[in-house]
Amino acid sequence: MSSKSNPTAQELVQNEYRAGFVTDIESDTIPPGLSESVVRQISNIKAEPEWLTEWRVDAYNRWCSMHEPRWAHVKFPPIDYQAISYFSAPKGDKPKSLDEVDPELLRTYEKLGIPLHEQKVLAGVEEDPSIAPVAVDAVFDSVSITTTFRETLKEHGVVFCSFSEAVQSHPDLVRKYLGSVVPKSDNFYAALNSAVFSDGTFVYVPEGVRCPMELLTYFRINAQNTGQFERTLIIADKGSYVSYLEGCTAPMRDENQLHAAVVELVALDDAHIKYSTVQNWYPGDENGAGGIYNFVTKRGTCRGRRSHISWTQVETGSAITWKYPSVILRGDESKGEFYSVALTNNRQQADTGTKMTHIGKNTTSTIVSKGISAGQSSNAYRGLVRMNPGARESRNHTQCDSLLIGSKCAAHTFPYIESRRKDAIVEHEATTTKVSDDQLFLCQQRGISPEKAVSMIVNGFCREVFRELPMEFAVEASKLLEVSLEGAVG
Amino acid sequence: MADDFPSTNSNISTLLDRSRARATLDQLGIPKYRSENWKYTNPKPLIDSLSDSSSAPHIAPSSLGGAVEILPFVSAEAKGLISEFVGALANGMDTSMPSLNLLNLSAGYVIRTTACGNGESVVRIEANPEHCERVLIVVESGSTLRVIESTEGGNRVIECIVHDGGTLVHTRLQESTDSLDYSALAVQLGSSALYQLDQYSSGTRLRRNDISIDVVGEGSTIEVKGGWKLTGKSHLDTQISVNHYVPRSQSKMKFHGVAGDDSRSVFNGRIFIARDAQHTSAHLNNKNILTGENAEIYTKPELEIYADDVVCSHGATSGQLDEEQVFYLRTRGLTNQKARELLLNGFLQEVIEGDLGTQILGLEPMNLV
Amino acid sequence: MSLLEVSNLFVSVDNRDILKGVDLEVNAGEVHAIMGPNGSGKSTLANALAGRQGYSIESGCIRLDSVDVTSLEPEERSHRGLFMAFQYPVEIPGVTNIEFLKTAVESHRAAHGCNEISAVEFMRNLRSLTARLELNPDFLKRGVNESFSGGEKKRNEILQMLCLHPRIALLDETDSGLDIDALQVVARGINEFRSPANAIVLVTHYQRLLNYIAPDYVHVMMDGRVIKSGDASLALALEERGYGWLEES
Repeated sequence: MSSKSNPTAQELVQNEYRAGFVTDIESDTIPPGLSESVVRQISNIKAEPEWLTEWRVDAYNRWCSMHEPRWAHVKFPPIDYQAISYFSAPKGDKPKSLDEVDPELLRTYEKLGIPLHEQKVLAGVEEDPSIAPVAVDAVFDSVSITTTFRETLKEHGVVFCSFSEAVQSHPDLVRKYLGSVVPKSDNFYAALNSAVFSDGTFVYVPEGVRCPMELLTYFRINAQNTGQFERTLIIADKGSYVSYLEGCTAPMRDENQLHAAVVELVALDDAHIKYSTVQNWYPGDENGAGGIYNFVTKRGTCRGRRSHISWTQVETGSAITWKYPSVILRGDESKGEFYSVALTNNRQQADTGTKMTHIGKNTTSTIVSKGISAGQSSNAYRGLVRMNPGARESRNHTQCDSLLIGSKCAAHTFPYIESRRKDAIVEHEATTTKVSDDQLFLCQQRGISPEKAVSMIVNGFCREVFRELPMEFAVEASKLLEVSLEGAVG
Repeated sequence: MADDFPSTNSNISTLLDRSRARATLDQLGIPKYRSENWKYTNPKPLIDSLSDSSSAPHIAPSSLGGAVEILPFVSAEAKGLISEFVGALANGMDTSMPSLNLLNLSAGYVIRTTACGNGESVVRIEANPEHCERVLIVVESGSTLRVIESTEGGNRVIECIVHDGGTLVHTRLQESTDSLDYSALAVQLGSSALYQLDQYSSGTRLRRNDISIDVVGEGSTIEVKGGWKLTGKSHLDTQISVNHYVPRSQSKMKFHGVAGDDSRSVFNGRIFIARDAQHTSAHLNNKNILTGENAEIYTKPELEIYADDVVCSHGATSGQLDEEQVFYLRTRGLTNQKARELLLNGFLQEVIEGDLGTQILGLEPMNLV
Repeated sequence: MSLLEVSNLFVSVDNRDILKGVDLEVNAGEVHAIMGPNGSGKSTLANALAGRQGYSIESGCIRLDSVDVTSLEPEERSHRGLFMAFQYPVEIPGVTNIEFLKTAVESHRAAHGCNEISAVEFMRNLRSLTARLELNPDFLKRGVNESFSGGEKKRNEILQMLCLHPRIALLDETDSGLDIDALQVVARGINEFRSPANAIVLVTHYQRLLNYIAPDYVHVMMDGRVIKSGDASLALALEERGYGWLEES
């Protein structure tokens, strides 16, 4: 007697998180706790101008009277904000060249496949002379370790440096744009970030310049009981173009760690910013212990006419993801895009999506969201499309698909549509499906194992999003998806 | 805390178990503007109007034929049903308005089919402006009931139990143009039951419809269609949640709305599928056309899914008439206005069919444009 | 030695007995046609041989090259050279045909301990096959069966068969839904595949396909059993007289 039981989509996960190692390095860390004096201390360590210190203190005071948002479809025990350390940096002065960087740190980035030498491309991609090199800003806990290809970029007038450095070298630009997209009291986590942000990346692309290479910031949380609060500001001046990538990992630890970043993008007339993220923070173990709380505010403003901001994200990590990369379409004929793959497995929770606010005339936005839930995870899309009274003949199209793998996971869709403009068109479509037995059987009949079949089908489901990623990232994203799904079929 | 809520004393309210209503209010509080359930609609006028007493006499539901009994809440026969069901379905709704209804009740009736398999019974529920009333509908196993309901302002909560194999066909016409109108509708379906709702709402000062349909028996079917056409400064808020708790049921919801002039149209449609509700098929669609320069549309189709072997979809659109279609009709000799009227009519006809269609489309000419 | 040997096979689906003792022996170089009215169990036989979930083998045995495969996974049967062309090929959105075929071919090679095939060689082979099946080269870049016409889906099944070089091909109603031109293309593909080293089992409702692919044996199934076997003339007799006369006898 035998009845064929194809493994169902639940048996394949004993997921090995490949970036889960700890770097053994001495750090200067401010003891846990948050107060006005800690905020001033962080500002002091970074030798910041007074206006910035006061800006932080103001954010801190506002944060004190704010509450954590409760509307997201996620559950977690209360966070003790006094038990977190708000600053941690490898000991010693910032290295002036790669030779001065602690070899232990270099080995860390080598293991992660992040090139800190200027001749290599991202690991995992075969050497190919046709692939342009990538400039890297490596942020380790609260500080930037090094930034590569600075000279090449300088020749084109592109500024790519750590945020702390930009405060010193380009104070006017920082002062003009910091908080101009995400106000410091925008939300609880943004206010917290505004008070204690440590480092991050600053990019300025001057008028008419097409940035000659991809820019990558790689964020690594290493220290224990430390939060990471980076701040990224990207300004694309008139007619410029930049493609920016962001990667992130953290060691496997039993307790949850908080990551509350703020990213602000500003696109002036005819400028185009392409922002891609592959988020692989430690997701916690299969019982839900440990993992990163990823509470991030990302927003771009299409300030100029015909400006264009495009967010592409692949979210596979974090215990909890709370993140809505958004675009304010202020300039006439500006364009906003959001392409997202969010995969949750085991006990991960994700509440992610976007906000497209149409203010200018003839603005367009496109949203493509692919949610994959496996294990006992919960995956929600939350989006808002708003057509303001001035958004003449503006358009939005949203496609939002969920794929379920296994009978204990959950998939949700919460799209808000608000239109106050009769000639604006908003279209939203959503579907929920599973990997069908018929699809699995077809693959198996052609000799493909169920594990391989599921990962192939999931990759196909995500294709529309992956093709928006730069090539190096697309390869990494696809591999990551495979790793994250391990054990999801069973 | 609940004692602070507006409440009138009437004979009827002593019949009811008010403690449940108070407990709900204690837990949820009085509805507040800008809370998730009242994000785009201020409930205050609806709450304030609860203390207005109506000068008009209350009109009881009437039978138009078939094996059906209509019992006032005060009758002895109604007592058992009231204690078992009234408040049990509607008070679970997130909005707490049904609890305020219970505390302010001025009239209540039970409608119940008395025989099964003997064809269809028909009942009319009349409009009772400014009354605060409650209706309990019980469709016994295997029987079929058709309910024709009108509202023209007031506060009404209807709770429906459709037992195994029962059919409830509900036609609802909301026609007043200057009223405050709150309606809650809570339906519970047994196995192999059918619930069909056809609803048309005109624009009025403020109208809110809360609808919740629970599927607790396998193999049930839900078909909901709704249409509205808002003019002037009217405000309509429709909230519907279809909750599948057991396997193998199906639901289809389709809503078409037209918002003209300075009106505001709010829609929230939710499909909930519990972990055990495998093999469910559920679909929701809401299409909106804006014709007014200052009109506003707020729509949110939601999916909340905990079972994997299901087929679900939803869609929502907001836009205007297709200019290509308008042009096509004009090349065939129709005036611009006539063409638009015809197309808007067609748009609404997709959801307003049958009796309701003739009634509506016969009642008011399409002069939105 | 027979390529495929089915002995006394009983199969149930959803607790309903469908196959009630099927015997079938197919040798290298042979073409067998399995015919029969709707509901006779033809497709169930094909699916059970391929190991589809839900087709419970209650008793009996399936051997490929004398090896008992009755309890093997579908992909293991595939690696051993069993191919089934689906009556209703399923869509796999976003997975391109090329990616799908490459993965399938590599899975077979890995199972046999072969190295990966070079991309150039793979593509050269694939391009010549698509040309022979009169498929647009664009076809390879589209999602598997995604918005394919009925004819394209069936030709895609044949393309997969030609890529995987099975020893035994079960073609389940491959002629259904094809117009005459597509039918000829599909038949040509099958005839090209035919060789002394492999074998074909055609599951079909009509004689039509057999005009293009001459079978060596014809079996008639009814109510879960093979009730009559013969040569190609049996198919012609069925075409003329229907299935009724067999039922009576």
